[in-house]
Amino acid sequence: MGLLSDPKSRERFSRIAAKYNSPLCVLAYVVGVVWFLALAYKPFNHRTYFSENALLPGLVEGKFRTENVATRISQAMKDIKDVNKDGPMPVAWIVNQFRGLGLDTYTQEYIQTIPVPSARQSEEQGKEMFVQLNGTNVYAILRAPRTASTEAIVLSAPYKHYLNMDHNNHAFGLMIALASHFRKSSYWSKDIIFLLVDYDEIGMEAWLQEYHYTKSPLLKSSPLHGRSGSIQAAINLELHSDQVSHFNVKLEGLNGLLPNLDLVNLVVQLCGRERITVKLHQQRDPFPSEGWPAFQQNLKTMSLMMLHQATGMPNGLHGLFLRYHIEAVTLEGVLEPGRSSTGFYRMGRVLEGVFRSLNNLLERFHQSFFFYLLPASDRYVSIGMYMPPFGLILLVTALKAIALYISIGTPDPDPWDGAENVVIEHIQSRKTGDGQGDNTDSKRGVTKIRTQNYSDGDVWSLVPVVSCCQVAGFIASISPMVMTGLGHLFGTRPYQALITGATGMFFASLFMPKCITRNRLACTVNTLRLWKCAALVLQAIILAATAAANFSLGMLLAVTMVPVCAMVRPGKLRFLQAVLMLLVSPLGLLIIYTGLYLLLTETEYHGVVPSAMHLCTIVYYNILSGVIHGYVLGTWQYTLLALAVFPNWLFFWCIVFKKRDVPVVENKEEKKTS
Amino acid sequence: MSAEPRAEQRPQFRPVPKALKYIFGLGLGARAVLMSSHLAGWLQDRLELASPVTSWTRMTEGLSLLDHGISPYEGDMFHETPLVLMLFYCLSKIWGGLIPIFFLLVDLVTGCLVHEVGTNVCRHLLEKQGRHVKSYSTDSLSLLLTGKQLNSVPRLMLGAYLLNPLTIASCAAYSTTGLHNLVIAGALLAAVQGNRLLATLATAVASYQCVYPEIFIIPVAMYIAQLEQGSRFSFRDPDSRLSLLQTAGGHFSWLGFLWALSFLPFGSMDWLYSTRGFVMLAPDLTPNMGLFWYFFTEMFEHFRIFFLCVFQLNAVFYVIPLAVKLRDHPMFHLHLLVGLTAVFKSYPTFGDAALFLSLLPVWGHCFKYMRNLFLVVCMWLYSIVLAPVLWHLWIYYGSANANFFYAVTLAYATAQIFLLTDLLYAFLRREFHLRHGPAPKEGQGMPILMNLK
Repeated sequence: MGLLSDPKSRERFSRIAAKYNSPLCVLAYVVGVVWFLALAYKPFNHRTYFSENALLPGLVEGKFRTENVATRISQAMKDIKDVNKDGPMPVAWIVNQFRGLGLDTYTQEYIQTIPVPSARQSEEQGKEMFVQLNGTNVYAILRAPRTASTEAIVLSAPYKHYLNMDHNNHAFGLMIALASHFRKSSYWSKDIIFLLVDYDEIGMEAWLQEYHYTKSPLLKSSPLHGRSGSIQAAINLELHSDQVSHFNVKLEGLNGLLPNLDLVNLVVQLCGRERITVKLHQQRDPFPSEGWPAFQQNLKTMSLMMLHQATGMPNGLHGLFLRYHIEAVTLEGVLEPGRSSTGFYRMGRVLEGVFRSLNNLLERFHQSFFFYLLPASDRYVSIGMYMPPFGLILLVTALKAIALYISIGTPDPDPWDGAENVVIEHIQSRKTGDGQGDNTDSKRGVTKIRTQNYSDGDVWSLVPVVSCCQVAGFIASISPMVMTGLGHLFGTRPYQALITGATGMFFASLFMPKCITRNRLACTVNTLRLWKCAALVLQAIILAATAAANFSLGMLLAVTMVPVCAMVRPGKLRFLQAVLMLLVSPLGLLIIYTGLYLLLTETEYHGVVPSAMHLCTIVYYNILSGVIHGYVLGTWQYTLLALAVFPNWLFFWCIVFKKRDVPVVENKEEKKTS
Repeated sequence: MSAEPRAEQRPQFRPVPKALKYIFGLGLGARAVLMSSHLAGWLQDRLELASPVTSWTRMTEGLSLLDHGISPYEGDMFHETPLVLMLFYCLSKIWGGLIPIFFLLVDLVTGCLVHEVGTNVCRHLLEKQGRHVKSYSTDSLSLLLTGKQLNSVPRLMLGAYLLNPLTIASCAAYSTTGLHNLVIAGALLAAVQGNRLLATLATAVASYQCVYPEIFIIPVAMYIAQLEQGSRFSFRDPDSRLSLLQTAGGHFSWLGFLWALSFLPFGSMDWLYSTRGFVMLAPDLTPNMGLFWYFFTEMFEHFRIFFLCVFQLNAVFYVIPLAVKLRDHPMFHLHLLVGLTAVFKSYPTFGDAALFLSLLPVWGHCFKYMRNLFLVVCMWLYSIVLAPVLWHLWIYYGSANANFFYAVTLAYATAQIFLLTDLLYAFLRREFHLRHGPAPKEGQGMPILMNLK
């Protein structure tokens, strides 16, 4: 505890922290960012390995032979769909398929109330404020012959494909084929639940809520008549055709949750055994795996994963299982033209292997990592590796806050020259009355004001500013719903009202510094330093807490916000600062990162204007889905941005425009003009 | 600025000042809004706000057991004292709506008590300064207290208690921590007024309710003895000893009376094991903000008794060295003990720390010598924000583990310990400067460095 109790080393530390503050900050930031990027490079990350020995993948011999069932069923389902296009799910037919295999088959109906209707539906149903979605889930349980239904594994598939409205009949075909194969075997020690979900996430959420007896006010569903034990793991299946060239493994779940790395390893390993290529975010593992191109490829995969994770929205149905502490991944079978492809036989063998390994589990997944980033399907960056660079980036905030805190009471070299001049003038005009004075006088004045002006008054001036910012954040968090309600009264389209609500508060609050200037807060340089110090401390807390829950979101926020917010100072180069601050505002960041995502995924470039339009559309939909998912699925990203990040940002924004507050300077200018 | 304390200026009865009205209004409003919002149910089960002793969920269990004619102390569920149980039983029998009103009132009264503690301690400090001012260095005028504090400090304390988000949340969670704070604040007030009968009763009630305030009796006894004996006070003086013994005797007889009173409703002393025994033996290792649970889950069972003694001694032992070091300042000693028990007790909550925080403004004149204030504030904010986040990740999502949460509770405890040691250091250093001037020099004329070893 030398640093805390020994005044000498303490003084030395504070002297270094104050004197070399800017170089230290730059160093910490640069090292942090470079270190983090370097983690995608092969020598700096690790090869994945199995922590859970009970899985025993590869020990079983695949016996799956019912691929013809898969072909038949998927064709039959396609025929049904061709007859009634966009009709409801053929529940009776699906139930018959499961019953035909002798499985316990049940259905579950649900009604979801969507607080914000989509544009299309609102036109159809007039000005209906709340729209209701009805759906039916079908599930069948294969009872384990060896135990008393205390544990279960789930194989799920959406009736329609996740984002595009394509049908998922191939996955259903494979599901039936696997069911007919599995029910012949006697080695199952866990129940297997086959679940076909209507309406993507909402149906899945309805089933999971009912299974775990949790309730949500917007979602009403009929009770489940058949049940099994606690669900250990789940695999969600999406197949785009009967022949696939690779499996795209989707991991990111609700609120940035990730499945246990062992499950991911298991899937990757078994796909490798059946020689099916595995991709993450449609990105192939680089070959050769070292060198500059490989690094670029790894970095791209990792960035895409982080961008996905940061949104907090699940990119597959598996994402909803994770909230219930059930490890789950989505396997998306994709056929890439011009690549060699495999059929149901191989896919079935992969899934058979996965389920037999899961069947071997003796306890829940707990051994391997829950916090990780994947630069390639067989390389991982764990929490212990990515947290130090993140800590270095946060160190910038901490160092700045410490330097400001130290500078509040002492006449050490001043980090804020611009602000200091204001104070000098302030004192001069106060002392001499005419704003004139030589240099020595003013220096004395500065020293004097520094030693005297640190009073309680400074601390209390934080209260109105912070509470104003928080109120603005609170309004921003509730305004989408309020505006939708108001828009309903005035006949505005719900989507537009919602967007107005979400962004309106942001634009309105840009004028907040003006309002703060009105009231006569004493604003000496010390007060401003204290303000910035407090803003930095708050920022560090927000970023740390965000990174603990959703690392990618925390990291992406920190990388951009920290350097800009650390540089902010009142007065100087206000226009440049304003532009930078706007760039790192929540809306600016959304645009930047959406642009980055498009840059990484889109191959074609259409020119500046179409690309910009495309970007705007995507940003628009991102805001919409962020807000709506918050209500329907309980993601907290929008709330976090509105209630924590945005007020903090607003605080910095006020600091940038704070110089006007010193009334004496204005008086002096008036005198000069007169 | 006058150096002379104006102790004879007793504040006359005045209408309640505007600032106090605002504080009361805001504090009560925030509590009422939070109580009626849907967050209340969620708050009731927050381990940061409700320990197994103070949890409202357990209180309802106790009430319902009592309703069915079963003693709640026979099971392993209920650990609140019988008198409090009886109180809530009566309230719930009269009208269920009385209970939130009761919790509001408890916090309100605690706020008033804290306010009074502030006024009285300030007056006591001023009087003391008046007695000792002759022995102070002539340079240290700027360090002296002024009459102004009599006005500002109590208001600050009231605000710090009633507007503290931690006490607001803890009140909305119906945590009986509010009740514990009430009796502790009562003990502080009774102690500073120096009436032996009242002070011993108040400490007895506090220790009956929360066990750890038992150690308060040492500074309280010293304070009363010093009031009676004045400058003649010493541990060797028979009169002083008699006074100390009288206070201790009073305390224990009151405690005996309270125990007897608690014996009546159930006709047995089983409750003693369920309340006091529970706090002392810490059998419930559900995670909380304290230091016990992690350590005792990790430990081999046969070391349990030994470490239990170590941990409980750690919570109470500091009273002895502090009694020696702060012999002339029992009031400060008493306030430090409130903070110490809030850290080291077996089942602490945020509400306990909030009471200590609201007592801090009395010692505002020492703050300029505190060295880790920034660090403490940062650590405190971090742990309060991160504790629920990591708890959620651990328990609900299963992705983090116990170590994450324990790290936060460690940071929380460390922040409080820093604050306590820093306050002690600042207090002692101010005393030093009062006697030697604000910038004492060494033999060679160099400014001397202060060190706390």
